[in-house]
Amino acid sequence: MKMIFIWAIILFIIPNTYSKSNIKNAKKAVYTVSGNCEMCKKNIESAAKINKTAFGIWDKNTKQIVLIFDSTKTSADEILRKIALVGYDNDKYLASNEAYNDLDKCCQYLRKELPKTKVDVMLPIKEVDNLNASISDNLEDPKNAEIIQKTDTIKQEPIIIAPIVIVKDSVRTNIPTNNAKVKTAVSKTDFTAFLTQYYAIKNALIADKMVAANKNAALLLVEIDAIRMDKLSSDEHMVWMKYFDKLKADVTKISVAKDIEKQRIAFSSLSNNLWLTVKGMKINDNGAIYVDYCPMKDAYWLSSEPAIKNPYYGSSMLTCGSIKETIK
Amino acid sequence: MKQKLIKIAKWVFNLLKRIFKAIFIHEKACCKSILLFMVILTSQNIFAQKTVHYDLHIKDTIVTFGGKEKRGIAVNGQIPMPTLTFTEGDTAEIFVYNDLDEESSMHWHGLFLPNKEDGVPNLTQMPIPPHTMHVYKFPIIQHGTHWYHSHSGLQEQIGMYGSFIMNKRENDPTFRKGIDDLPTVPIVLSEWTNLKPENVHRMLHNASDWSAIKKGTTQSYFEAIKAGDFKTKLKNEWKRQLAMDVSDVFYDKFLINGQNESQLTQFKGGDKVRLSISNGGASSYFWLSYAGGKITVVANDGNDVEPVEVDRLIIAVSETYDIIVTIPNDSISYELLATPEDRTKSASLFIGNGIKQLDNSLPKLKYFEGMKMMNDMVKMNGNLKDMGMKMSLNQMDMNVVMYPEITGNLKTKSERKEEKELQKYGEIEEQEMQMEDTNRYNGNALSDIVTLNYAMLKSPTITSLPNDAPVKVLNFRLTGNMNRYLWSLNNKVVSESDKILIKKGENIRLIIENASMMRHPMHLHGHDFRVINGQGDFAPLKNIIDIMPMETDTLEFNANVEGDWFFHCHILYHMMSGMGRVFSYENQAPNPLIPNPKLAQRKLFSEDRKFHFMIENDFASNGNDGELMLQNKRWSLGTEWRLGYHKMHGFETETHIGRYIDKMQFLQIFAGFDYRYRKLEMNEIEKNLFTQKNSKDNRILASIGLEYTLPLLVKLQAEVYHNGYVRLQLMREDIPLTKRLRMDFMVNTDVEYMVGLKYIITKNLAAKIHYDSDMGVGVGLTIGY
Ligand SMILES: [Cu+2]
Ligand SMILES: [Cu+2]
Repeated sequence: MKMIFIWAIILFIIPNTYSKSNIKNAKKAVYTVSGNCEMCKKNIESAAKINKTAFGIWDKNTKQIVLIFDSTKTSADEILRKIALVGYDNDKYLASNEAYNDLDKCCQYLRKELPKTKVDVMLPIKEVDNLNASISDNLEDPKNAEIIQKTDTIKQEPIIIAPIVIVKDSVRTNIPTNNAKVKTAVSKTDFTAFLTQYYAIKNALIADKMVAANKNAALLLVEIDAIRMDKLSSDEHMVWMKYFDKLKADVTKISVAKDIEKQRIAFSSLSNNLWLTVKGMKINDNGAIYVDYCPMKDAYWLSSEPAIKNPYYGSSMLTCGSIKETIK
Repeated sequence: MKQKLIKIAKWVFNLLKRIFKAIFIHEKACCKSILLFMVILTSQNIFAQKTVHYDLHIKDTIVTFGGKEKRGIAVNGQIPMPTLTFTEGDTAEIFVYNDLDEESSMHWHGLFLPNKEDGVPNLTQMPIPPHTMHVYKFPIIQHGTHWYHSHSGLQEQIGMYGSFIMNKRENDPTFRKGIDDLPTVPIVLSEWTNLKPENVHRMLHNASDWSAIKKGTTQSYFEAIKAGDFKTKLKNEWKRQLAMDVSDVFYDKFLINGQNESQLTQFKGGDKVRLSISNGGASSYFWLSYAGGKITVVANDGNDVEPVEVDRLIIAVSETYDIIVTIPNDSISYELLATPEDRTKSASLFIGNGIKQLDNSLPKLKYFEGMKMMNDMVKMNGNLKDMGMKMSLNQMDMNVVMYPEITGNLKTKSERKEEKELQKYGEIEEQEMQMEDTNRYNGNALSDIVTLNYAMLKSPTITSLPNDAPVKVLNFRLTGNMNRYLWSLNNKVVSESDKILIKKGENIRLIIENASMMRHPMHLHGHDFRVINGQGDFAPLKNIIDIMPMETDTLEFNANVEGDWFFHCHILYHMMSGMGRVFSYENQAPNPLIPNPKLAQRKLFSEDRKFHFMIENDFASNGNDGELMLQNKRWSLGTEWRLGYHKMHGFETETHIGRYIDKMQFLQIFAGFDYRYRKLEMNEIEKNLFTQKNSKDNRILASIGLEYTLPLLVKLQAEVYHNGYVRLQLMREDIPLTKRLRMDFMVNTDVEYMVGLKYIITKNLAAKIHYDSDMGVGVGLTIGY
């Protein structure tokens, strides 16, 4: 039996332990790597590390990294590429926008302004809905808007200009202060503002952002109150009277709920009532309104774009669902 | 050049004029028209007579692509092979010098040429013997981006691939300003493995999971539990499936024009660059994306298509695409990123001058999501379900469930918990997704990323076939069995089927359904086919089509050039396993390069009949356990032995020769031969569960039996010996517990049992601990090949 143990030790343990040795054929090189903080230091240095082959030491004040590497096995370029892959621009490589955006907020250093393009770059066109998604982000983190505007504009998400939220000045004063970044604009119809605000809640739910949903629901309450019944035709008035209380009740629930799943339950009810309202009052937004259906929750929601973005599961099952009806 | 031609033409014209004048002085008017006609003829002759000559020297070489010195094959000292450039109307004259110590050949992929120039050894010519020379000579009657490669053995894997570019004539009516006159760079994608390709092939056939270990895609039980997908894994094994990957081979490096990273510094901001890309990889599909914006696709398989703008495209093995990219900025070079489908590594080409802008890298695949999808797809009998979805032309990609950039990142632990909680309270129904949701696999509908698919390709010219020709319809099912790496068409390999006879002038319609679980790039030699993709008369022309699992595609071509033309899957290891057919024209003239057709056929068939060899011995503290296997498509010969260190343990060997019966190869019948020598204690008699006795210390037995694979991949063996003795046995090998830890167990009616744990250290070495009812506990090292 003793033999067996010895065998076991030899077989299972030895292959897994290797002696720590110094780097052979060591070469030293210094480069500049963008970054902000201690967290950046950790990210950069772990990207630079290759077992027994390379490591780097980065200084957050000078932004310089000292690389020590085995020049027969790797190169400074290879290491700098790895650093850029985790999001840090450096002398040789620029990180992709995705890698940069994936950095923690505190690590998102200021990127250098790059010369403007000479040709028309084909910028990906994003639907309006994305704009709304960023509203909810901005509401949570006002710093965000600044950062986005400073990032370089070449081949990346469009710059988020002021999110469009339509507000009546008379009531605006009651609203929490976090919409300093929110610019006002004038709507064509009262319902556009109303729907836009509904979509903002939806986008908050899509992004799993409970606080943003709270805030946007509060804003929607204002929009509901802002609908002037005396401007409605008598038919519209009847419909509106029928759903007014229900809509308000649902929205209130969302605005006070401290649990995103409760918000979603209220949102499902809100969506049903809104659907009936929209149909009943023959509201047409500037574009089409899509009524989407989530088979797993047996719930509906409205959207301004045909792409499915399911607000009932958040990012986990974003694209599950189908268009049930298109209101034009 | 042009002026010279005009001069010559004038001279000829004048000369003829004089002659004609002398002969027919009185019929001047009539003569002039004849003369004009003749001039045109002569000038065309001058065009056609331009012969472009290349010498290609094939030589063994040592390369270090994978960081180690390994054998490669270089042509004119280059990997990839040199780019060959022609203009439509030229005559190609290519001298191939085989300086290897083995046979070789050269195939001109996608070219229209006489059959004897096609370069398929033992089909269109005999192989080029070592240290000899062969001449290929054929007129260039098309234009576009193509490539060339060895069609012998696995030579393509280790360097024999290169670009073959045929330019349009300047006065070509299809010449597109702003596309065909852009600066153009030929590009060949490929991959490198430090293993010998023969060894890769052998390991694939022995279901070795070494590639998966290297890639980190074992998909073991431990990994499944960690990901919250234990049930998924169990269900998968219950359905008798081994863990699947999107590709089979582990590669050490991926290459663009022979380099992992390179830069085209000759271009500057504002330039538009055309890249003529061929995928010369033996088995890798590549995703192509560009850090400087959208990609404009302008040609596919050498045929022009209407320009289409996309964010990314996948280029199948052996496909070619011509794309245009724009450099947005002067001081930055932008990455063209080629990521193999398994996303293990990548290769980059930076276009422009200056600091290198990386493209978004592709996130790791969500393998257990793929496994779930597969569980939904596969029936208990191993066949694929008919999901009631008409899938074709790469429009639906079931693999999107694995792509985080489209279907979102993996859920974190807390998210999964939350979901479970909700399920408990019935707030979410079981995760069974709606099958009728048609967009479920449509990447373009699911995200903002536009991925190219074949339905988006449209020819700028009418491609319809002669409509008075008779139509012949051929149906093919792409079939396969991953466990034993068996790939076939209609469950038959090349050596098991006859040539498919077609008639010259016929329109051949191919309806191809992929009933296997891997995608296959199907390639037809010598012809372009139309892909029926909803573009009507403007259906695109291609010579290879990627068909994903469960897809059905319809292709058609006009049979217009006699010969024996290979039609096969271009994944090298699938082709070598026999996944192909030969189209042959009825009553065609014999090929002068095949003097002995019978011999050629035998040699051709021998490729997929090869036996694959495997041996393993466990040097343990309580004895030796070993196994030797020789397998091919249908047959399996295996010998197991146990050799104790003292007499009581004795010596025992069992040999089985078996043949697989069913399509899925779950059932095998075999004949066996056992020999045992040992010394039992006095008066000790062994009894089996059927109370049959067995006391001989020295026995020789013959047997017949059946082996059947049960759910969870447990093998049930029933064996009857010539003396009436019966034995039943249950066994499971290689249960993947963790990435490298495997478990085996065995129990039989002789009341013998065994359980073992194996830790895989390298591809040939494992540490093993096992308990055996005969020999007790043993610890040892397993060495295998
Ligand atoms: Cu080929
Ligand atoms: Cu071929």
